[in-house]
Amino acid sequence: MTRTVTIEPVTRVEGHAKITLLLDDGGQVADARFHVTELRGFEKFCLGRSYREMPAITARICGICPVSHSLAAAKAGDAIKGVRIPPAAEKLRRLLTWAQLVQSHALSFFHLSGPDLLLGMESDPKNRSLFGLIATHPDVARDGIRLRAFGQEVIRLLGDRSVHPAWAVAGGGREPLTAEQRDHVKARLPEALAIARKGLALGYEVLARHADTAAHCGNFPSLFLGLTGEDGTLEHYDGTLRMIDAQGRRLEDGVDPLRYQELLGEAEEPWSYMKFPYYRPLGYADGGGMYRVGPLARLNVADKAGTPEAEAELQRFRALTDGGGPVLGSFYSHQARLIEILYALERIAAILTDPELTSEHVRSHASTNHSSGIGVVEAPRGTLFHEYHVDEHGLLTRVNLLVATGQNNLAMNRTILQIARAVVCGGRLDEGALNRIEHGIRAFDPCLSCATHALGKMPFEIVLLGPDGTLLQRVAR
Amino acid sequence: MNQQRLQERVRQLREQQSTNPCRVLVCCSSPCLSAGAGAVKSALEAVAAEHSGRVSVEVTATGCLGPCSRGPLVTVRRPGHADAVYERMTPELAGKILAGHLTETPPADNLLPADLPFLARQTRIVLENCGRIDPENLDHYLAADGYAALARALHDFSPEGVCAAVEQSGLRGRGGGGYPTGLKWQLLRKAAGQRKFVVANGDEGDPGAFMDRALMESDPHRIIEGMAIAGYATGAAQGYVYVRGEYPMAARRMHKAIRDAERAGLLGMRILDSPFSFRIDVRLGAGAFVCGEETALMASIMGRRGQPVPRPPYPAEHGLWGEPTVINNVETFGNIPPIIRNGPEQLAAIGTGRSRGTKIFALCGEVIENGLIEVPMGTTLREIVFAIGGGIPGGAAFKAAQTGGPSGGCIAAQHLDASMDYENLQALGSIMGSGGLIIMSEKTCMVDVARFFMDFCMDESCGKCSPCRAGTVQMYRFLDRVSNGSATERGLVHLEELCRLMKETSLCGLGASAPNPVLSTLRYFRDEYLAHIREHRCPAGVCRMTEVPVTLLADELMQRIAAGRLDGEAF
Amino acid sequence: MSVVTLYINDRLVSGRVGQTLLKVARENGIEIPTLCYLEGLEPWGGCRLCMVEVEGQGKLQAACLTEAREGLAVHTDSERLLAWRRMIVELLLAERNHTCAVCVVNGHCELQALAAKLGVDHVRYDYLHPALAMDVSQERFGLDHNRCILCTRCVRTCSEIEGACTWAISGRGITSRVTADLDRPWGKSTTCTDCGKCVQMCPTGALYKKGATVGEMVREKTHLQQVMERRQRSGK
Repeated sequence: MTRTVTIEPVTRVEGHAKITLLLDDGGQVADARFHVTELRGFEKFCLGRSYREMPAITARICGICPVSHSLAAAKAGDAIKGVRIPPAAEKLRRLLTWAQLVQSHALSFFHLSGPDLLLGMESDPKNRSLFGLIATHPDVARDGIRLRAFGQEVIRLLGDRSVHPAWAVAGGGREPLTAEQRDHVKARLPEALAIARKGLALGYEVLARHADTAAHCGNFPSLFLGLTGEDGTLEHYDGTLRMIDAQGRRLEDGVDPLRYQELLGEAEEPWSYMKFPYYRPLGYADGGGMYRVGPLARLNVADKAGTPEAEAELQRFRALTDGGGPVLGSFYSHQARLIEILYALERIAAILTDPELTSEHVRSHASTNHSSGIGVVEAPRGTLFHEYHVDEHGLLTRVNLLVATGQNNLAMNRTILQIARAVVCGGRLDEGALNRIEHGIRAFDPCLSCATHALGKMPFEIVLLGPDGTLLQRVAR
Repeated sequence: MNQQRLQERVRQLREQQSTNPCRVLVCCSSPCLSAGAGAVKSALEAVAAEHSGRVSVEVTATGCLGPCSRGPLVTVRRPGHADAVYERMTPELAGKILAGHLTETPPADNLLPADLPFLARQTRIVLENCGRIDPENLDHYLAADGYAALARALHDFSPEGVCAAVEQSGLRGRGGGGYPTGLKWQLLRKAAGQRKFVVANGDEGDPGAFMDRALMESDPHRIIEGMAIAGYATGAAQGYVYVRGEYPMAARRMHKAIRDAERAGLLGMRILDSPFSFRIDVRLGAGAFVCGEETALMASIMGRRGQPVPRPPYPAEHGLWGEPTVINNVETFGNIPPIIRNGPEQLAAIGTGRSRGTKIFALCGEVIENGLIEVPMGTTLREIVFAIGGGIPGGAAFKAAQTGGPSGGCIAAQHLDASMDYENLQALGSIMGSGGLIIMSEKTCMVDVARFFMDFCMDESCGKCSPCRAGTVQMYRFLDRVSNGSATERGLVHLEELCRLMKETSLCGLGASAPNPVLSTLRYFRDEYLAHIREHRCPAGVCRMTEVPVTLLADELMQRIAAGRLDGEAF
Repeated sequence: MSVVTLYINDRLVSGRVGQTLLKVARENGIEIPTLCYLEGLEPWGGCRLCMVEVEGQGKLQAACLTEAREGLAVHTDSERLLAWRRMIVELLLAERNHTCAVCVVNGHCELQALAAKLGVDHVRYDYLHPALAMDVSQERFGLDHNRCILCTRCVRTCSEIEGACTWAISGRGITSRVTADLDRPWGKSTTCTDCGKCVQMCPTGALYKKGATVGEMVREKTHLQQVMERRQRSGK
């Protein structure tokens, strides 16, 4: 006999989701499921449109990371045109990528997870939101806002707007960066760097405070996937694929991202609209092929950061495991994000000194020369793949999008099961326990796309039903 | 051929005809043909051949006699006897009947009573020859005073005099517009231009209307004669008959009639030895209702896309290829020969108010007698439906009569005694239209009627102007919703707004009058609309109301699932 | 060159004989919205946005086609006319798939601008969502039927100005479409001269330069008029 506990909707994540916990007779958690309750259909309704429109259309898959989709779409478009984009265009695309990392990670740490981390997992739900944070930790809240604003500002300068910018195009970018714009960014860098450093210190405080949480929040072996640059440096725009196991052994290395289908398969379950990617050689059935992407994965697969301060932080991070192997707990993603913010800011500082950055030539021109193209980037949440097939004129005949969050699907399900087992006793839950389960999801910073509600204001109700349907317990907010 | 020789020829033909012992007239117009008139004719010819040694029988295919629902129709004509009209003929019956006549034992099977109201209570002027002559035989037309009017016009009238006569008759356009014909001709006569044109509008697109078809198939020379007279009156040397593409027989007959008339010197260069020359060519439509609209029709004749252009300038000033043009309906031209032949007083004496003369109606729908009738303007609807039409089958109650097709409206039961004339019909919210008259009983759902006509207009819209092109679609969708149960009262508000928008901003008559069936049914049968919307019920029991308004969709789906219809029976 | 005087919105204005009400109004700073009208082309009278009230005439008149005559009293912005204009724009927005967010003329679109000006903030009609294709077979330009409002500016430009007569309308009513050369893919047209005038004259994003991304198509509206004027001046 099983009883079911449902958490719907999951709050303080991007998008709409539901968590179901299935309890056995002893009140222990037998199984947990993470359902994505949205259906977007981008792969279908884009058919018949021109691939040149995809940077603009796919940007609208998400309100937080539109740049990643826009760039993946533009790269796929570059491949269809068969062009190498001008050097300045590539530099500007990298600038956009780093700016987005800063903005998205800042949002995740300070706004979405911050309330849990700083006010406490079981703190009063009435205050456990950004507004509560502003009240109790105004400096931290302000820092988060300022840091995010920096990233947004860079994106807005190039793309004319910070949400759904229309800068990236197949062949390069739309407008060059002017010297004034570059100087504008340069002027704001010091403040951003300062906040990033403070954030890292805060991050370690948080880790210390939540040691027990970290122990059972997504802390299990899995594979990790990410892009790496030359010499295995941390890479977000180009590079090759590397897959490692929980011990750090390289299962795949230097793989051309175009061959991703050889490595990764996608399974489906009837109870969620999100697919379940897995590493083919190890299969789907018993979870052996489960892999994680995202900041934690990226830091695990990279050999080095490539920038001085971030490198130091990376070493410190690696010290969290005995032997310096891969860090396995998803809770540590929070710290990984802070490290990536620092990394991105250092990269931005460096590229702003490159004279080629403001070159006028940012766009290559060609018509449709290949019948398919694949674009791969590291979005804040993980590796993102856009694959397009077109007819002779460039009208799309097939679209496949392998989104970052989707690749963490198996891991997210495993995570909530792990947490639920730790916090659900005798078939009863309190509100704090439920929040811990939700936090397990937040640690992955999933992008379930299109957040439509104000933070912290989503009403939800958890209902505990007996096998005959009688109401046993109701927890509502 | 001149007038004198024409008269001589007519005299000869009449003599010939009077010596004929027996003539059998088989209606071979489209309705009777589709009911098997061809086989009936063959059977009659066989019988005639059998008796040919003894007595000479002439079997003639004619045009439409009128009571189409009783077809195939056969008339046996013998000198000294009244015409015997037989209905619902089969080859055996027809053969038997003819044999009976030829052996002086005329049978009574299927014999229509001489005083059948449908036949007796008509005033057949325009249709006087239909069903009585072979439309493919010029001699038959001549014997029936054919081309006498043209001869008289050419020799006894000036062009101005012809226009004046038509004006005096009070004739108004029979296509539905009701514009005074004589006045139109005067305008063309006075217009400056090297070339002028006369066009006969045989596009007849209204569903349920077949007056023009019958006239073109049954008496094509009459139209030619009318057009030639118009040409003389206005100074035009070229005429076009625009026949809709769906009337191949009518087009063929017009074409043959034109050739025969030319060969006989009644058309073409120097008609009847006068200085007047007039050519006519047939132009075929290609399936567009909008080409019944004057300017679209002219575009089609000129080989352009059949869509209207704004007026002014009007055709009389700027028509085909920029030259002055007059366009009249086929039935209007059918009225012309008697006006000239017998004088305008005959027509002027018939009718009511400003609606003079007769009107041909295509009576159909839920009425016992279906077919063409020609009655004086001012005849009441009651007389048409009950006296002439024989009433509603099964004794059902009369609900409404639809006139004017997709541009018209309905006359409800309370107006059964309404006079059928231009002004009165307009006051009642409908129009005279081209003559379609569809009778409806309590078994008809008026919402369904409005939906049917809007579907038609949506399909036939030329697409040039946004209100009509997009408005008809939205109106149709709403009417469909009313019919299937998913309409809301708010939608009704939008429907009525759209009606006004289309009436006031459409570019041509199609769009401007497309709302008429909706407005008319709303005016007289609003309660039916409301029953559909508020009570989810079709009072006439016609509409399958399987849907619900969107706001109730979720509830409805849950109910269906609870009732065991697990898939909710796809919405 | 004789002058006519008339009243527009109770204001006494003057124009020249032969001018349309639209011309006279615009020359006097009175704005009447249009979509199918383009200075330099034969007026079409299809969008019906320029309908005005003329005292003494029962029916509304299209300002782009109606000749200004002495003593007319014209009203261009009554409640009724505004209501009709809004409805027509809503009908257009519902008729095909106008997704501004990802359109090449976002921010520079005449339909969008007109909707904004009229205060259209919602569409009361069903969106028809027809399944319409894009034609990107032409080397330099694209045609997206989803954005077309059938104003026929392209048809008239190609026939009256360029003389190639490549564009025409096929089908009728709601199934009408702009087609090239008796309905061939544009890239296979044997009459098109690649001049790009139609692309310049299109009021929406239906005709556009390939490679343009969101909001990148910016047109010069008076382009055609200038071309016509320069032609005249260069003496023919």
